[in-house]
Amino acid sequence: MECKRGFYIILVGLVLPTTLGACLDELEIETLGEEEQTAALVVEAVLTDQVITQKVYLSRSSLRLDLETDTIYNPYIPLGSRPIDSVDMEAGATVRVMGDNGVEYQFTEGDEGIYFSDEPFALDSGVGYTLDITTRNGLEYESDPLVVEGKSQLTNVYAERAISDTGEEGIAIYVDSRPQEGNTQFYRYTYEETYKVVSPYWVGVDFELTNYDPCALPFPTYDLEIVPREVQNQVCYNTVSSTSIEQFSTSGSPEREISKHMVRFIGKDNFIISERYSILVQQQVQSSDAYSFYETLKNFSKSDNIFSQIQPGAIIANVNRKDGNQENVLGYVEAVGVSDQRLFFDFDDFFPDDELPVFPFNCNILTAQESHQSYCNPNPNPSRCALSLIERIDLGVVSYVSQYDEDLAPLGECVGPYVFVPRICGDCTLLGSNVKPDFWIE
Amino acid sequence: MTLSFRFHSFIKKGSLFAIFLMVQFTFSQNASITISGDSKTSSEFFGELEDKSGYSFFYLDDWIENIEVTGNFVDASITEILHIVLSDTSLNFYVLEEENRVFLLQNTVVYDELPPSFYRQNDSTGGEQEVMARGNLPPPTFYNDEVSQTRENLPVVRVGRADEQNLKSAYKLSGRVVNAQTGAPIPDLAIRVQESGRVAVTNEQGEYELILPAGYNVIAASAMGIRDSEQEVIMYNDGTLNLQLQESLEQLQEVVVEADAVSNVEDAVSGSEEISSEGSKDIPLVLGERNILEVAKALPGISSAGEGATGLNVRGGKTDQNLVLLDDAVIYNPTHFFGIFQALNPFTTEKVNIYKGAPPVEFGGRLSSVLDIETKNGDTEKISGEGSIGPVTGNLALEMPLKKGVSSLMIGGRGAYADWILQSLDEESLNNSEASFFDGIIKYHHKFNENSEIRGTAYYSKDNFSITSDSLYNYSNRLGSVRWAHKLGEKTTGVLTASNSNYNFGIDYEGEGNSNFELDYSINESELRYRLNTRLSDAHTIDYGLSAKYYAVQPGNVEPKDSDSNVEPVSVDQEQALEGALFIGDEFKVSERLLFNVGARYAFYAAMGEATQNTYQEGAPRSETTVQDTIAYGSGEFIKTYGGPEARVSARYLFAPDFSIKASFNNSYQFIHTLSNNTTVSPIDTWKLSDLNIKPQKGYQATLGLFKNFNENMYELSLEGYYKRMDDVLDFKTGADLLLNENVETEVLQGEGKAYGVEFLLKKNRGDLNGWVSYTYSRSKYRFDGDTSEERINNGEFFPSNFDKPHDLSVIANYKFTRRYSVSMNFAYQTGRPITYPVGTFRFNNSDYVTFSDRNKFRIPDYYRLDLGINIEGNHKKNKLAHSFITIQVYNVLGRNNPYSVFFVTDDGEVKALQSSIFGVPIPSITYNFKF
Repeated sequence: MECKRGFYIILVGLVLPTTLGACLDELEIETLGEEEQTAALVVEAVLTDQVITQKVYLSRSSLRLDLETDTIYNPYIPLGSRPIDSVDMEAGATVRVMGDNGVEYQFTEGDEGIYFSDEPFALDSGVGYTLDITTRNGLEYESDPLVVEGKSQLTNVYAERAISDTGEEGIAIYVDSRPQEGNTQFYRYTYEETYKVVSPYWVGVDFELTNYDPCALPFPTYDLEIVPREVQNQVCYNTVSSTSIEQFSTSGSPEREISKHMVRFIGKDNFIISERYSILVQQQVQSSDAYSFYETLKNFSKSDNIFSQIQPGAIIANVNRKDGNQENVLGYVEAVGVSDQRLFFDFDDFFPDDELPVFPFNCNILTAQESHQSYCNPNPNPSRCALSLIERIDLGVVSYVSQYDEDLAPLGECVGPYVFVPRICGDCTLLGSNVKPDFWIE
Repeated sequence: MTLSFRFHSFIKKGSLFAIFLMVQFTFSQNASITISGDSKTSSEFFGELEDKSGYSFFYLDDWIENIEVTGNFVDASITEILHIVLSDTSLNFYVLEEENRVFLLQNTVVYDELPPSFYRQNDSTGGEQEVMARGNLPPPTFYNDEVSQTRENLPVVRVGRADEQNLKSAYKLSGRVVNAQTGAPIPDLAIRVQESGRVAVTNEQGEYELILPAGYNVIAASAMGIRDSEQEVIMYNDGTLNLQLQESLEQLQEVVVEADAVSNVEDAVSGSEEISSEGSKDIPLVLGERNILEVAKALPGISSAGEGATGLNVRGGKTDQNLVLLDDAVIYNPTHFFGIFQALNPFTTEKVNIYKGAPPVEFGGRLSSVLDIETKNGDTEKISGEGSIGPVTGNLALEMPLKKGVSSLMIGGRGAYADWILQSLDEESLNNSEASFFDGIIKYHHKFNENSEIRGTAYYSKDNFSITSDSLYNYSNRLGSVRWAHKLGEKTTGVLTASNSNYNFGIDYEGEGNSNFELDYSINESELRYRLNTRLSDAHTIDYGLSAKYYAVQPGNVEPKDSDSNVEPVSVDQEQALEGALFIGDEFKVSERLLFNVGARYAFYAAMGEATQNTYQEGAPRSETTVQDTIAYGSGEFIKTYGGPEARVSARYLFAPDFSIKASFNNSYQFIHTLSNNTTVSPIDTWKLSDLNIKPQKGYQATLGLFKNFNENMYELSLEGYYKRMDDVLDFKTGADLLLNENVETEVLQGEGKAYGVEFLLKKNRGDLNGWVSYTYSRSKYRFDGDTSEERINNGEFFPSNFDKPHDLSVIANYKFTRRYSVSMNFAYQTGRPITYPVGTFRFNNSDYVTFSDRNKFRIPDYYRLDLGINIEGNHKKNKLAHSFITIQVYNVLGRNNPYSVFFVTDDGEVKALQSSIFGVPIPSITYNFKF
């Protein structure tokens, strides 16, 4: 029990690191706030000094605590049958960026709530920009003036074996950086990591279920075949953006170089580094206002010290209603000077003698009776068996392994002609894309 | 001369049991003797006298030991010789002519008549039995030594020499009472004559005078701090009796309680509490650590944001509004380890006086309360010590006389040994963590004479803790004070105090890169105070004086930690200020029933250069963009002065000697503030001096209460209400960055606060079962209503403070089974504290975050906790090396998982609601205390 451990730690008189928690219990809270509250507009945009298609995200806050970002795979819940994301995106808005030198860039909605600049553009230093939004309901918003404060060049992105704060062994990714121009006191780091996934139970063939009618009487009708796979799903690549706020300040010295600042730590047991791994680190030079916004947001959403919490409160964003109404707008819009660099490495580069991290999903080899009672049987018999094979295939939750083999799956009542694994163990497309990214170097 | 009597006596060493029998006979003038007393010892003289007179003498050798015989007697009668020889002694004599015997008698005379009542008592049939009485004689004194000695060890004292010519029914006894240890006179000592109930009280010089009936009397002396003693006295004549009395350490506690009990009703000042360190030793607290500050929270009106929250909130005031003094010097953080343990050695601490209402006029500078902690004076007679071993700390205190009866030294040390336990734990993640603390104190006390004494105290405490492996935090208190108390005449005493206090904290950052640094903050203050007390008359006692304080704050320095580090050194300019006060107060006794305590204090404050200060545009929110002007001030130049008069008025009206009503009003200024953006106090909160842009806080408080004692002060009952207003209290903009901020005023909000409540306290001071029940209903609300939304909290409405807990109940009870075994209980119930709760979730930067709007709108569940303890005193054998005391305690017996906070974190992009608790399970502990 966590509390016991907490007590013991207190007993020996220790301040608890975040990860240990003294006696922390997670509360089951579904919704927050009061019903009548209207959802606030959330604006997110990081406009850069690189010539790219710039993006603006518009969404609404929710009373629900959990916006269902869960990426935990449940082999019994078919993929795509529930939202993995239930953010209310704000569609149908008009978005543009205007410079005080007279330039104006129009944005067009791509995916719902995501607005892309009509053409790639870069922010110029020395120009003040404002983001201008008119929502579908006709309300007009604008951001405070945005200026690219400075530019700093990432001179090196590198990985080393390291021990984390909490004592975990793993790989740390560090950056070195040299200021180039402007005021470069405040930095934020984001990254996009891409890792190769190889399905551990991949075989060249898979089930194919056709003409399936679970309601047919007296028995369901179907054709089950073992066919060669048509799509490549043995090797995939998954790309994930950073979710944490990683910042650094050279506190008061704008010209200071940065050396060996850690931007990411990956534990040795994390399966994302079991095959080849790549990270694209982006360094953003922020304004002091943006820096404090992110810092406050981070402080409010973490707990360093169970004895003393930071007093949370409303964080003022830099987007406001044009008509002077004090409506609370969430999020932040910023203009940054960026520099990025990519790094590749393999697990063996750092841990040549260690075992690869374990595949994180349960890949028990299973068997099940091939068919089931008709769903339309007016007098169904109670069944002791779990879902039949064809039902599972129909749900798309299994991957073929072989013909039934007593050594692979134990004998039981619910035995069928094949053994199989949860689909995630034999089909890597559940964990990434089967297309090798352009930048990928083996 | 003819005497008629019959007499018989036995004189034996070690007893004096006289039987008087009555006979009738005559004797003639005795023969003449020539004898010289020169160069003879008294026993030689009496030997020669015996030979020459032919009489046999009966006496004890030690009676005549000190008689000096100098005269020469020629042809003198034995009666004449004895008259002269014994004239200056307490001896009488009786010559039994018939048998040629002489009896020397101590004090007494030989009664040659029956007392007037003798026959009447025996003759109930009546009949006029005329007894010839010599004057109106008191009855003779019969006294049985053996019987009396079983009662008291003090030897019986015989006073005066009976004078046949002047026998009276009562005699005057006078003398001086001094303290046996120090030789100091004991004033205000009540000397009571048992049986008659007559009482005399010693004056300032310890002198007394008492009329006692002739013969055997028992007088009893009692005073606060003096061991009650009885003295048997046989009065033969007027005389003197000087008493040397022992201090009563064992009984001090009880005596103090007694004195308090009365003062509860009689003092004009209300809202003050005293907690003695020794007296609170039985109260079970976390991990068996004695903590008078924790005990204080069990009193009405005193609370904290929660278990494990540093700082006290007194009557709805913020934690920075308490003046905590340790032997007159300010101690900025009197706790270790996030407030869980006190930073005071329990064995060197005598007591703490807490003033929640109008404090004595000499104190000032904080709005809510004064906690005046006093340490013990060292023993001036013998070396003694006390110590304890508990699960977290070891404590030791030594007292040693330097010059017997004059000066002493007390040394206390205390340390936590958590660190090595931590290292030996098989938990990898803990190996990089550390938490340790210690404190030490040394006190010198010297008494020059009755009228002057001096004491000096030096104290240091330090805490180290790490939250992550790359940052080590530390904080320390250092203070020293010297106090000289002296008498300036019969009616005036003066106390001169000089003190210096320092508080600092640091962060030592040592990570992988080139950013290693050391950060330091410190505040230093020095104070000089002179307070005089003059007793003008029975009706007026005035307190007056002045104080001056100098502050120096180093708001923050960052230095690169090593040569690889390319951290730029940062230093925020030092802040300096002067704070002074003139004060005068009068305790004015209008009548027996009505007592006023009227005080006035003028507080003065000046922020001083060298410094630069920004001015900001009127009406605009303060920020870097609204800076109007930057003014530079030279060294010592006044930047801004603040100040004003403060009133301290309290009144008491006695309905009955044990029932009173009291009212008070006071206002105060506070010139220094803590900057904290945490919901509770953190050790790295900084103190900030008022300056051009940050105004002093002001407070006003009015109280009204009823006080009643029952059963000879065994029970104390009080009910008191208060209403408080505060102006210009500090809060901060959301997410304010306060550390190392040169323009911290851009983050500061100043607003108002109000607090009100009713406090109930029932105390049982004596008996096998003692303790108290306290209940408080109170509210504490603040309002920050600036011009812009950034400067407003909750739209400028009043909101409950982080420590607003309307219902607060504490029960502390102690039950003594025997002299050695007792059990204690501590129960606390409080309304859950308010916390800021989110109103929604939003997606940003690929993660979900919660958004907050109104401050403190939600409350965590109510808090309750029960602690139990068993206290076992070691046996009381006389020759043991050390006296021991063991406490076995269980904190949070019910295992209630009291929430300390509910908060929301973003972890891997997802929001989680977490509830933390500090001590969610029962925590047992055993502490061994010893005394030698």
